[in-house]
Amino acid sequence: MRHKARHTRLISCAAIVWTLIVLVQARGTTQGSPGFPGGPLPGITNLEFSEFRLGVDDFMEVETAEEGLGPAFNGTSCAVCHNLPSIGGGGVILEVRAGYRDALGGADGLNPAGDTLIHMLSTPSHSCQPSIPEDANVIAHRAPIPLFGAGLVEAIPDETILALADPDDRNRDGVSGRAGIVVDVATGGTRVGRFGWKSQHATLLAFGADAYRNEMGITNELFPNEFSFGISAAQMKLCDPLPDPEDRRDPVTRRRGIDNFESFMKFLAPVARSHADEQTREGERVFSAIGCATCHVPALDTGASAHPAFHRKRVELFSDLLLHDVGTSDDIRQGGAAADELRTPALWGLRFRRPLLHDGSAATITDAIERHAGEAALARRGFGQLPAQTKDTLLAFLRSL
Amino acid sequence: MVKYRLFAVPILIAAAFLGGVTTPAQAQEQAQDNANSGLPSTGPLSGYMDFHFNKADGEDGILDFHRFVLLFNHSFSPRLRFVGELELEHALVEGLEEAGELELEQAYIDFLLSRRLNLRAGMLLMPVGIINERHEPPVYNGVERPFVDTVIIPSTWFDVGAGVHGDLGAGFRYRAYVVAPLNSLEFTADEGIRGGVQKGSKANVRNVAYTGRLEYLGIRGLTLGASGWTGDSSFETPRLDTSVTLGEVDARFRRDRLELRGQFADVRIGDAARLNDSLGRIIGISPNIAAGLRGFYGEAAYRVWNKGAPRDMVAFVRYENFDTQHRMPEGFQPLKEFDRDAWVMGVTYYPDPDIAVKADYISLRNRSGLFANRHLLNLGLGWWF
Amino acid sequence: MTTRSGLFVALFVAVVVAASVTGASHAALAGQAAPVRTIEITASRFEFWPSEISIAEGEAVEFRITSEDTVHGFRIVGNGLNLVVPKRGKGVAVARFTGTQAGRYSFECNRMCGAGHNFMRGVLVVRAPGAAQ
Repeated sequence: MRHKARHTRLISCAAIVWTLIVLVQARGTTQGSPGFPGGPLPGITNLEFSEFRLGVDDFMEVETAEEGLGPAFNGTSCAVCHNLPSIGGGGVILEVRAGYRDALGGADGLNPAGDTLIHMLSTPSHSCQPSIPEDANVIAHRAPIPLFGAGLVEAIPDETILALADPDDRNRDGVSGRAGIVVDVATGGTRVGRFGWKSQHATLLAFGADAYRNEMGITNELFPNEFSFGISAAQMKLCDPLPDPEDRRDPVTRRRGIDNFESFMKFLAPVARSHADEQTREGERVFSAIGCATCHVPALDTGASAHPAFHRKRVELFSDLLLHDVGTSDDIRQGGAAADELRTPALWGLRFRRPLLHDGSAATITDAIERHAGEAALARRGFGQLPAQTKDTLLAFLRSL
Repeated sequence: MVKYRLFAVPILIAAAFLGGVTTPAQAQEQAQDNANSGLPSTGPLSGYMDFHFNKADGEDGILDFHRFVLLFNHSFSPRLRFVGELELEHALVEGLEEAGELELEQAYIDFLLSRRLNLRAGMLLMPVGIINERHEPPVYNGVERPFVDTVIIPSTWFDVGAGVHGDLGAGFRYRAYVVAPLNSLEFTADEGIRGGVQKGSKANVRNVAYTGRLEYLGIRGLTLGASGWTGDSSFETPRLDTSVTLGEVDARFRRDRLELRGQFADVRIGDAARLNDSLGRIIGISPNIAAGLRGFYGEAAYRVWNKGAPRDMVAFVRYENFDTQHRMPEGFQPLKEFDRDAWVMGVTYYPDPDIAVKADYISLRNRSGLFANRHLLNLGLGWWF
Repeated sequence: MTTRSGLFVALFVAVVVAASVTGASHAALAGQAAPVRTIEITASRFEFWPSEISIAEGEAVEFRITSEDTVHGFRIVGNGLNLVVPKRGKGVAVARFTGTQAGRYSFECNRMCGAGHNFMRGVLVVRAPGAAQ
């Protein structure tokens, strides 16, 4: 009997101790930390979150020649270039484009199709590496564009962007933004482009599919032909054995790679500002006052949507998504854009982007501002005339984005 | 005719005498004779092996020599014992993750002091769950270990440590160890804490973990167990407080031809939000680790042939439910493809009590709507010697 | 009586005498002599059932040990009894045992049977005469 009493006590002690341990753990639901870029939009369903994560995995997946990489490519996965400050961001790797500019200002690509991309790498044994023609007189570089908030940008209606367009400068403010009209390969419709340095795409599905084929050489249902400039048919057979389209449906999810990229970009949350205080609010006022906000429009609204995450949301991207000539052109004609035009880049997430400008040629924000000319000449002069303290306030605001 | 019958009777009586009457010494000899007939003698070496065929629908079949395990035992004295277990998984080791593993699963010295208290030190099996300490192939049903014992309780879970064990009497047995902790840097959304086991390989013990199990075997045919494991897992990320606590209860019941098993396990990961954030900054994407994992299963097995015969056939069915994203930290969403359940049904044929020929069919479901449910067919041959 | 039946009787008597001389204190004939207590023990991974056995000092018992699975061992520490328990379906390990000295004795499985082999132990209590059960 004594044994039994002792056992009961021992077990009771053990049970109490274990319960205490469990309770101590249970109290600890920690609060989430402030948003570091790379997470999903709030308010998406669990299914959409799974699709988003599937997209992340595919975005990071390193492809091989056996899976369709090549014959020439710029990176073995999307994340190779889009990884700063986190997956889906920008990067320091610049892609190379080449073309022709004549004395009259006409711009041509390398072939009748107007292709200008020159890849940096080719599949082993590197025998399919294209070279820049010796007579090309245009060489341009382009930095990777961060994808944060891309879904919200896609949800901005065409009309909203068109409403800001003023190609003939009717209001005489020196700014003549033009919408880049493109035919969307995904739907076949005529749309206002908003993705890419030349606004060459209107939907994320087409944007991702184009990049899949362009940057990695993986053909897909939207872009079923290999990029073949500088590669002979014989080389193509050697370096690209897989039949097109190379992007296959996954047997378990029944989705294509381009579907996964679309889900990733669509549900990728934008970069929130680092902080807001009196100085940044004053800086934002200066930003508008000297005319930066004419092109770098502080916010656009999405339209009506069945999805609560995209329904009438304020998108604080600091861009009108229009094409302008601000004297920084790359001399490449593409999509609906002329050789001298570039789409206004969005300034959200600016604190994580270096180097600046489409070709990475500006080291600091001040450098980038001082390169503005053409339609931005007035604003540029306004910046130059600011007293030092006001300039600092403006820069403090820009560094908070 | 009568003569022969008379002749037979005394012979029979004599046989009865001689057959039934024995001395203790004779009894022992006779028992040894019974026991040793046809049996191989074994020395300090034992082991078990597992050979599997796995086929998921839509995928190629895999034929895999899953485990080749050798157990060593040596008695320095009646009170000092050594047990070691060396395992080779997937037949070869190339230095890359994708190939097999060569692991030291157990290597300890037992100091047998008394019935109530004994000491043990070395590489130990964590006393958590049914399978972790009982995973010889003829001992469980199904070709692979239960899912709950793979992604919730990371069997086979072994690590370095020391502790005590004993029999308290009245059917209670216990074990309690102090062991090396987990490494939270290796936690994942899919497999929970499984990747974090250090396996006693230059294990960091900035802090230690505590684990224990209490078993009740007082009722014939019934074994009840409860175990726990708790320890801080953040030695790679010292500013975090990633404590892990695992609690588990299980029961095994056997009567005549029926055997029932059940197990429930719950894991809590502290500070999971900040862990995800830290890991996100290191690897570029948040691993979406959960704050709580949960799994349970119930299994019924029926011995189709007569018990007692050396040959046996067991038919079984098991329902498992396991979710490695059961509770998420504030601000994180669960990945519903990891909220899974499975029906496992199959047979185990024993041509010999130490050899198991297994076949099972698994219907594995998940709650994502994005990933199709899977159906798996497994065949296995396992043995113990 | 004929010579043949005389021979039968002689043979019968000889057998009986021989059996009595070589036999133990117990006879197997029904209805004769004191019964031996049989203690059935089941060995399985990783326990003996029962794991606590109580016998009186001087009482002779017969252990009958079967295994539910693999080959086990049965060894009473400090007492010389050391059996191999055959695997399920391959027989019974039988041993007569008399506890000649009161005390608590450990018994254990002494044949490696798996990861929990060292947990497979029990206690045999030999009660002193007059001691309560």
